[in-house]
Amino acid sequence: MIETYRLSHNGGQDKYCDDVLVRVGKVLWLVVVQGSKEITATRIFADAFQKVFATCADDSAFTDLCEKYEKLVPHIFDYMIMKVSDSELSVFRHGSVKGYLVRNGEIKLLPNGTISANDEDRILVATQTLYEKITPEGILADGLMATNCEEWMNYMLYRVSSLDMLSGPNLTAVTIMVRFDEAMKLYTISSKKIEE
Amino acid sequence: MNDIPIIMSILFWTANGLVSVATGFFVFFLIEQVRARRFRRKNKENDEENLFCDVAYFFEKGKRDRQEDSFYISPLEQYGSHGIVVCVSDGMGGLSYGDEISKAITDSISDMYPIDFDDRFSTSEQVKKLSNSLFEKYNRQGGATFAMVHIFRNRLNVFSVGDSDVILIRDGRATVINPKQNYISVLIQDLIKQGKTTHEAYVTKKCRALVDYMGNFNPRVLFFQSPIKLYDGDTVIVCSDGLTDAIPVGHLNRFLTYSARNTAHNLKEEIKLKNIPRQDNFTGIIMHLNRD
Repeated sequence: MIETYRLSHNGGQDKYCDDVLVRVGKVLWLVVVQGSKEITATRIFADAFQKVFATCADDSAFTDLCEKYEKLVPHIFDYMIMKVSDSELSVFRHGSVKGYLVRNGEIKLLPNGTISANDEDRILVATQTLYEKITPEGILADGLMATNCEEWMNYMLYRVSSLDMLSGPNLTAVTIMVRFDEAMKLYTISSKKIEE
Repeated sequence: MNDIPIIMSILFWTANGLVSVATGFFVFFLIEQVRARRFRRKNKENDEENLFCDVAYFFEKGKRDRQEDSFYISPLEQYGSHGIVVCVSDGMGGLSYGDEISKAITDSISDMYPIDFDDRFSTSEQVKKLSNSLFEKYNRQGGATFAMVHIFRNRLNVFSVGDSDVILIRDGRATVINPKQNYISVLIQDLIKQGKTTHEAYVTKKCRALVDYMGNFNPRVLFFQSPIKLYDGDTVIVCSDGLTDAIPVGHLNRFLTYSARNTAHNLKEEIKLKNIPRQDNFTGIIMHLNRD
């Protein structure tokens, strides 16, 4: 099971210029775009993003979507594309939008490419405006203390709020938790036994 | 002509000998590689087990009439077998029995030691049970905060109720690693859901009041779902808000030294130097983790 929670907050600005596209099915598809002050331009590209995004299904190849976006989006935009399934995490990032993975009591920046997914993996994808106000240790501790994605987000926003009362730029973030169901856990354990 | 078989025989046995020697060297080389690998792995494991924990504390009344903080540090001689457990409890001001309750909490943690590091849920349930027994005895006439850490084999568990702090200082950055259960956090969540900024949360009357505390019935005990990995050079501080109200968390790393004792001394002296009117009780337990 993949659980997710999304934050799209204006901050102290009149307009929200970032964009988040999420599709949760058997797999999770996620695109986070950091907008610019030129709202019109952002909107046009955001619409194009949505059109391409609408075409992706659970079994779509990750690289296909990345290629489509690379052709579509001017390089001035920072964005990140992610596909999360029960078995793997695929990441493509361009610019300052980035993701962190909380696993085994440690926090790591997600590299471009595909890595295997583990039970209880916790992932944060956010724009730079959030990372400027929170330390990796804060992300790690909040991720481990939280029992669900919304709680994790709330803990982090408490930190951001204590610095600028959310009166700064737009804030965009998505928290994700990967939870293997019992059947999958049993399968994993039995596979291990066979290997041994 | 008769010498040919003899020469052939000598050549054969020489070649055979050389092959045997080469095989011997190869097998010896393989065995040495395996031994070296095992040695490296064993050393690595030992290194991971051997992060030394240097502990010191301060426990001061500040400018209050009573000391309502209380603390516990588990026996250091059991660090290797059961890890170290430290906790701080801060009696709630404005209510009676703060000193009694904080002392009862730390005494109970002392009775609980040794604590199963991996069974965090069971530990949290024991803390909740303790709070319920305090509720029965004092019926919300008093309460206390609670912050506890358990360090074992370079891993850190945190348990917390209320607003006492657990701080991790890593790479020169100090971060509070337990959420606060106060009214501000509730207000912030509401304001964010409405898409607003959060100024209002900080000017609301009694915004710092606790929404959960020890002595409440069935409080929510916050704890790590899995432990944080600790590294050489990390510092963990468990403290009452008397410390963090006097010294901002972001400045704590300025007082770090090579020893926990000196760090504790520096922090205590800094608060005394500040001479804050009505300085609250302040208690801090400093743990330096290093390889030396």
